[in-house]
Amino acid sequence: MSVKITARAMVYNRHTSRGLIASIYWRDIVRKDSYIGDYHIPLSDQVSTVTSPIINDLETGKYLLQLVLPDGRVITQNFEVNDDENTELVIELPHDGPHEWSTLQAMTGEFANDLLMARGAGESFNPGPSRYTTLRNEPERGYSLAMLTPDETPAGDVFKAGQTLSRFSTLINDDLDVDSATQSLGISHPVTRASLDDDDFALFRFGHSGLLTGKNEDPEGFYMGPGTQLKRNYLLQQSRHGAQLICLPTPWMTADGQASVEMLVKTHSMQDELDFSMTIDDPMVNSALGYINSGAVHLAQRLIDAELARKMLFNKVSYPFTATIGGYILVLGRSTKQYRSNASRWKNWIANLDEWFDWLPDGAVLHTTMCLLDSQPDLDRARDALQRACARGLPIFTFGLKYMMDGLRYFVGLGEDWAEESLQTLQPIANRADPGVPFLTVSYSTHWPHKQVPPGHAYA
Amino acid sequence: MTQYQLYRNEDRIDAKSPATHAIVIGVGGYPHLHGGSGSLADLNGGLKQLSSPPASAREVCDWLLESFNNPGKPLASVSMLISEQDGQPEYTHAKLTRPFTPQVASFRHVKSAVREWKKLGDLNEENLVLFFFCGHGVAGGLDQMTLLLADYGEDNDMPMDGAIDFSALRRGMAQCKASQQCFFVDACRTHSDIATKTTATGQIIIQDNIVRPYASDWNVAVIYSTLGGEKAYGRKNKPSFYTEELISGLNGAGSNKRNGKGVWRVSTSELHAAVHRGLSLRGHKLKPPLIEASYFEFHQLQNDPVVPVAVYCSNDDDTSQAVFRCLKSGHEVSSRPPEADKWFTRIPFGFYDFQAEINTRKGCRLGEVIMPPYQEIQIDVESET
Repeated sequence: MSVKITARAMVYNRHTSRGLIASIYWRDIVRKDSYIGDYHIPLSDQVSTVTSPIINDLETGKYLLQLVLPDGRVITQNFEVNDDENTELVIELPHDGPHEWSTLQAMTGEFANDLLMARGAGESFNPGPSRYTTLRNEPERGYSLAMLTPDETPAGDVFKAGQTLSRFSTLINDDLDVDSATQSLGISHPVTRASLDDDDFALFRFGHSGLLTGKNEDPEGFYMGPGTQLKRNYLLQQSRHGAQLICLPTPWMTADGQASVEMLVKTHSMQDELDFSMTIDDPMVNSALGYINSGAVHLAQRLIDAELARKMLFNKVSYPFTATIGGYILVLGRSTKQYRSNASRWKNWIANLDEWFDWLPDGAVLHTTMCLLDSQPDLDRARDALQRACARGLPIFTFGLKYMMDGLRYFVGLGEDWAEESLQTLQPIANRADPGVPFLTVSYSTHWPHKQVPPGHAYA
Repeated sequence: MTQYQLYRNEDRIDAKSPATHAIVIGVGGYPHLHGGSGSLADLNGGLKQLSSPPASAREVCDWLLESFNNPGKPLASVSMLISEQDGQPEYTHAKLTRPFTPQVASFRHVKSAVREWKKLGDLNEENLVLFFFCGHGVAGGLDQMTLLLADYGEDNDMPMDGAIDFSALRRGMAQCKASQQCFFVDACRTHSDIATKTTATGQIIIQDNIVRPYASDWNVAVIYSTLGGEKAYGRKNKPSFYTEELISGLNGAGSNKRNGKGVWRVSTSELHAAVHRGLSLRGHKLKPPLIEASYFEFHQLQNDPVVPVAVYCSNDDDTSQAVFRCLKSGHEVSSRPPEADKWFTRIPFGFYDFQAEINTRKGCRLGEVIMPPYQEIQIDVESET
């Protein structure tokens, strides 16, 4: 007898064998050993045939399954395993997002309550004039996005090799208006349309080459071996609340090619607050980031366990961003004994992630953290890695900035002046960083140049 | 017993064996904010008096004295500081030999009490320390959190003299030997422009130094409130929503039974998830500072967990018309007459039957297992013929 369990959601042609985490219990819950174990549950769309891993260790009997969604919700389902019968359990996940094209964001809890405000999951996107194109005409009252690639376009004053952090920090301290501050970042390419949108939401899908429209994919492949250089992409987001710079994690490579980076923006209430969510078109990564953001770090660590995280690190040349996630998963829980006991198996790979990828500050940040958490901290290596991280600029991941600052505080504690200076440089950036998003997002200007605004003229 | 401690077990402290030390701070009275008895601070951010933090602090102390259970690290001390808008009422509890009058939660007192609490944590590397704060707070950026104390704004030249830099305190606790540290921060953070008008982040109580000089793990979990708006804190003499959800989590919603010994234990991560699931039903969600959550279990239930349950009909219109009943072994445990919303209730772990009845139409769910963190019971009611 075997048991196959699959979770199904509106994730169109996406699937993963590790989509979610479920705990299985005997239904006879009074027994002390009612807990059987935690299992990885595959996630697939409604029509694909997915080969679910087989659970072989369940005896005949009645069971209870608790499936934890990335937004913290729990789905409970009963099932039975009978003699001489294979069991197949399919769990249909509820779709609470505003649209069927926002499933990934909805699964992480973003905009789940907006269903009633929007026009329902089944509504097709607006084929007529786009709300985004209207909003972007006047971003001080609406909303606009632009893509910045300092390596390809005439750079402004900020993105200078080895000086990005100090110059970006100065830019924030100078408290320039949105127009002036944006100008000093260099020439950016406006994002003139959304990939999909309606009157309530706009979805922007990005590849490394830029915005992806319709069902287009970015076909470009990348070799990212030791010493190769890669351009960094940023998004510049403007609204009545000011301007933000978002570190865009492209090219996000997977075994299936380049995954798109998806940004969903709530456009129907720009006056109240800027509400957006960025995720990766990879259900496993999406779930892991959702678990982390909802505070369930332990579930992220069960979904991507130490063995898988180690494998992700191993494949860093092919998939450097997932390798970085693997590294962060390992250190996020700060279960240092567990960390120390396993670190010898993969710490060289962290060092390689640092030394092979100059364009990825997060590798150097992880290297620093690893050296500091070792039972015999290697301060010289940690210091070198941390100084490299600072020279490389803004980390991709929000956690990267935090660990960068923690590393600097470590050396400040040892009385090292360079660390004090670097910490002071980073502090304005940290003060303006958004803690609620996985990819580093920093507000670099909070006010617009004075313009006459007709009374009552505002987008609602 | 010191002036801050309402409970102190000398035997456990003298033995220096692993133990738990808690500090509970509830700041509702702010003399220098709107509605206060003192001069209004220039940098007041529009903040007002709060009525629920003192009630929240008392609720948490009640729970610690009555329900906290960690056999390996029993409760050894509880410190309490409170600031009321009017007066400073005594705290009484059956486990205390005499009433306790808490000191005002001013910076001077909080600094002394926190350092005293940290010293107790230093007695053993296996200690658990618990920190609870309810009151106004100012958050900024990645991980900055400032907690405003009763004397916030006393001096307009430096209003933050009456505040503590919580982020620095949390980091500085690397210097405390206690290897398990849990911080519960219930700080109202909305409608305040204080953060944008000053770079001051409050006073540092313990040196901000994350270089941990001990071999033991440093397991830290911070559970912030994510609820926006002062309404959640202004509930007249009632604990805040966060406190209610925290207590609910500690009483079972944040527990698991994965240890194979049939024991329900509350873990940091599951408690975090339970609190935030509960708060998500209470109102507008704020982004918390970056989450830091080591996984560790720190409380063992002495009774079966009490689990939040939402009961409703598959048809929304039916939900508002239905009489709901919950039965155990055929006996009615609780019920609810027709009301507009889902039936939100809390019932102990176990097997239950649920019924919905609308005149002659009925629906039921039989033999449902109710277990943490919560359960949703959707009932199909017979359609009208």
